[in-house]
Amino acid sequence: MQFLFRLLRNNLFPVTFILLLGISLAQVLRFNLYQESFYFNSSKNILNTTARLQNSVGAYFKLSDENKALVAQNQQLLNSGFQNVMPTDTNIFVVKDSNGAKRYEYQVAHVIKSNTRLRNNFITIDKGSNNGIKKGMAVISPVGIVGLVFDVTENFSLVLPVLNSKFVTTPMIPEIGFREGSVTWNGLDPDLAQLNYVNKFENLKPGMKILTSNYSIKFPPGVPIGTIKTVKKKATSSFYEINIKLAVDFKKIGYVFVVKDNFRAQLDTLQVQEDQLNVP
Amino acid sequence: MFLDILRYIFIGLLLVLLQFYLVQEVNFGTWIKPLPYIYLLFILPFQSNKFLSLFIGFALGFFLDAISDTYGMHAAAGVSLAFIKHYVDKGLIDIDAIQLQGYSYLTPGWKGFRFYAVYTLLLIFIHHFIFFSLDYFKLSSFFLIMAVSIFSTIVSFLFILLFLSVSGRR
Repeated sequence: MQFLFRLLRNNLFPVTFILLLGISLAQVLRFNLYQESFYFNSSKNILNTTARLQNSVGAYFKLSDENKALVAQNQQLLNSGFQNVMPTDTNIFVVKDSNGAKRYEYQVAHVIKSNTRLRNNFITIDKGSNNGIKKGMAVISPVGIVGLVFDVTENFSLVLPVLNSKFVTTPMIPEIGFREGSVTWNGLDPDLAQLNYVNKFENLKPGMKILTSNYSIKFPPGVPIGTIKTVKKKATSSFYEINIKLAVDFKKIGYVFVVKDNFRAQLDTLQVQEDQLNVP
Repeated sequence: MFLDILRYIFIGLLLVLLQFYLVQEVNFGTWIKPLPYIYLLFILPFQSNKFLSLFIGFALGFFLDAISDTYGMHAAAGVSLAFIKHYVDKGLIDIDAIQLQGYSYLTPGWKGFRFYAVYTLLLIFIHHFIFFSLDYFKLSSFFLIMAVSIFSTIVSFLFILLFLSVSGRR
């Protein structure tokens, strides 16, 4: 025992170093292995107030891009409305009633902090549990998907965007009935995401629009992810190498919508039952 | 002494805020992600306590982690840099001689620019390599990490030369 103490005292410098390194590495491992957030919470509310102040200045420079995105979305909404439908066949008529259940509700939030430079980036928005935001909700912008809510405090939430190693979603291309593979980001160019695990005999071409799948329970179906930029065949692999130009410019992101899925609880219950059945 | 401590705290705060509000906001390119805030560790005087420099490296990184959502990566890299720098100093620099000549930290004025560049680039590269390894956290992206570290090291070094010329002490 005495020997141990003497050893510790003689090597106090390396021991202190290992202690401090351990404290910080524990954080890194926690994130990378267990996907839990730890001190994201601790300092959020104080520091985010300053970030919001800074953003109130920066927001003015993004206004023109925001306007363009909102005008495009308005146009799309106008085009998709029922008021444009005029029955040409007199035997068919459209019944408008309030019988259906509303599935998705959207809430506007303001991005106060975002980063695109790291491998694992995060976005902070100024709505939290006080506004009914919960972990796992989808976040979309007027032009496409942004990410998922990763952590919530009372007034702020942390969003895990597409530009993070932990982000995965399933795509769909309705024109060719394509629903496979997964969209991830390789950590290099913040404009380009990757579409993996797509078999070489699928007829994919550059320029095709990729939307969120209706098989995904994370995102509402039909939200743009991006357009295919390059499709490469590799001799050693049975899959394509596909780059997607993301619909959202994460460097200029300003306003987002947080999507509340009213059927999420029902879907989760079914998922639990499915998991129980699959237990060997 | 007390004024010196205040001065270093002020410089540290300034560097972290500069990193957070300016350097991280500018897009230098896909491969270039400079982290010049570690300049604080390069201007710590040689006679300062080695434990203190460990804690400064840790605190600097921890503060930057807290404001930029990087969960311990800056802290781990900062404390490793402070640890390694202690031994590199011992190996490469004659500390008694440099203190007698009136330098409290290494500048290009002592032994010329080439020696300063090699010493600084080596330490910055070690820091950046640790940081980006923790960021990518995958063995298969080793060459990517190397490339990003090398290019970022060069740009960080340019930033540190800029800070040196601004601080005005040769």
